[in-house]
Amino acid sequence: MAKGVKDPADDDDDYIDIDDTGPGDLKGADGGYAWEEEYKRSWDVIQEDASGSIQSVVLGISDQLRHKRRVRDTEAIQRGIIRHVVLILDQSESMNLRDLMPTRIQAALTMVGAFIGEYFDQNPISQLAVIATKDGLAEKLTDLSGNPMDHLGALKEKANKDLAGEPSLQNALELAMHTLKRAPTHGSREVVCVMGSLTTCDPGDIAQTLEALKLAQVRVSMVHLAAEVHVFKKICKETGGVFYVAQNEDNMKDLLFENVPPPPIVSAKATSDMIQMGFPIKANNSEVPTPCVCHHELSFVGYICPRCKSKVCSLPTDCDVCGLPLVSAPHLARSYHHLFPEENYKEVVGDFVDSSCFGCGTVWAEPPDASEHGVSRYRCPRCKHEYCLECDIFIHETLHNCPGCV
Amino acid sequence: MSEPLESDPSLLVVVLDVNASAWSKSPLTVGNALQQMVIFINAYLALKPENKLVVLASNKRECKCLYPVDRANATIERDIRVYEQFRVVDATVLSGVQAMLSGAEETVGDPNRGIEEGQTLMSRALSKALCHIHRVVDSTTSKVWSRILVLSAADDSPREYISLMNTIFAAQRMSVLIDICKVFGGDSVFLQQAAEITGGNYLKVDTAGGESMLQTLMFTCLADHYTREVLVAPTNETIDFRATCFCHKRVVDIGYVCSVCLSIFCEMAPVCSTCQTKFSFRIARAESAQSNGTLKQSPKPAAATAAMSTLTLS
Repeated sequence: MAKGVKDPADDDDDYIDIDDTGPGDLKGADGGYAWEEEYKRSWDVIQEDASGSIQSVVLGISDQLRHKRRVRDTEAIQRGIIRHVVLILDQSESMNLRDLMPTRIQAALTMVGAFIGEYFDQNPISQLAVIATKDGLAEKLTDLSGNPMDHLGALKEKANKDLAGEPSLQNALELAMHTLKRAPTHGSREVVCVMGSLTTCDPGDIAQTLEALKLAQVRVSMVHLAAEVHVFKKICKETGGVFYVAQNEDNMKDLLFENVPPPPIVSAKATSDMIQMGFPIKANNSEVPTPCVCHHELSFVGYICPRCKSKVCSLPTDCDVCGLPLVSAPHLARSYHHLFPEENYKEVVGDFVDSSCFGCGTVWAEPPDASEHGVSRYRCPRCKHEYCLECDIFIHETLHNCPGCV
Repeated sequence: MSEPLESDPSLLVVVLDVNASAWSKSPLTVGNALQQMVIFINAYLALKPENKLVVLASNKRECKCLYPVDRANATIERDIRVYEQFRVVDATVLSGVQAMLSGAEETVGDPNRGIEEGQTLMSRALSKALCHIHRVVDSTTSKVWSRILVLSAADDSPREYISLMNTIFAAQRMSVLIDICKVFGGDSVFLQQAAEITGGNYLKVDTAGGESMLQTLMFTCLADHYTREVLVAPTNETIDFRATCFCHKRVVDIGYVCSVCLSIFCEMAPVCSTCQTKFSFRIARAESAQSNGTLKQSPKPAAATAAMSTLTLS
């Protein structure tokens, strides 16, 4: 907590908020300035239970945190299912610091790798590009593509070597805008930055870049690894994105993963289109291996583009020859859960119905006392079945299906 | 994701379809199929002492966990001649299925929400199976490789399509294999896709023609993740992942997809018939811009393929 950390998701009482630009300006809860309030100690929240143990309380708090983390907005709003995201990774000298273990760049690379996997799992018909910035320059590691392997490979190859100089946010954003310029109008255009440096070394006026970003409807979000920087925050805020500062490795993962579900469409200019898509047939009956157009490697199996009859090795992707987006029907079905999200479960207090968790069948332990954090149960508002916390998180993050409602 | 080791234990979730009306059409009786399944389960448990088992049964109304059950209300007499674990599993599974089969007839006509006679709550069963797997994998420190075996009897119900796809992709992400054993009736298109996407086997056993279900199970589904890497699985004919359009139910190669609701159409229309969105007809421009970009900027296509694509486009 030594750093000026801020996480808008945590505005409750037991959180020590030492940030001075919180939602309520500089005023605290009781009308005074935040620094006039009594200092809150994080360890005061923890009280011993009857047997003198603090284990149950700590478990209860961590359960609450986990539950809070996954409460999502479930309103049926229009979301940009077809996304174009440019990931900007800071490769400046400041990423060598060891405040995140083992170093900032290593921690960031692990998280970015996980993010890319999750992003393509949840958004199978979306695209991603990766840009790295160091020495006042921006370099495109990968172009917009729908294949996670390309990005992971490029990151593994280039990203953690030669950290040097200062980053240039302006150059990186200009390059990102250039990359996103040819993205079709029906898709969203987003930039996600992972920055460690407190400075940016720019060739021109970054305010003009900000105006250009707004004009091009690019949404910029950032996870900073050190502290809040005015210009970074301003860019995020004015383009409709979010700015976060990561407190630790776990927190960084949560903040980065907030960019995984597609953001709602707020802009009136967003257009809807009919997109031409190809549904290729899997070909595995050939006697002789043939090269694929995406990696030029020999293989027996592949998918044949229905328009130009070239062979690609995995779906979903864009045909490298004719540019037709190639998907399979299950991938479209995979995106439906963003349109019809599962409802958030509510914690049950008293009046229990089921004798065990409806998901994993774990029988509830002794009847939980309302005053203690024994077993938390969560109930689906639609099917009225009860679930344990594990299943609750699993259902909403991985399965996207309520076992009781289907 | 690490590679499976020979010593890693497995978790098998058996999903039994106990839809009485579907089984009535089967050449193989429920009892017979269950006997063979129980032998298979015993063989699985005998392979490795650490192997874990969950048995779920599902019909058109409910989905129950048959094993493991709460030990308190399970009263099974001991038999000194039989290995204790086999006996417990056999007795609980058989009595559980019996209870579900006899209970199903009494409550015909209750609100089963559009599920027709002869269809089963398969997506609920698979969702619960994944919850069980998640719980077991989460609570054990060592690596456990999980798979699901479905003994399927009933037909697909179209309203389950999206929820089944969700479970299939969740399984794929957790590296859970889904094996399907279909004993009679037509092919289940949804379950075929489940096996194909997760890397499991889709087995169609011709019991009327004299094939033994037990033999097929033993030879293909008993192998764990480690062993499957060196075995040659029975091949399936190519599975068609092409989509059918919403307007004419035609199978399409190249379709048009609404960017808002992802409905598939076989021809251009000014308004999406599903979500009533009006389209802005920029399709030609957007697409040519995109493919031009691919030509200019993507470093990958070699000169030859670039020349080819200009040919196709112009």
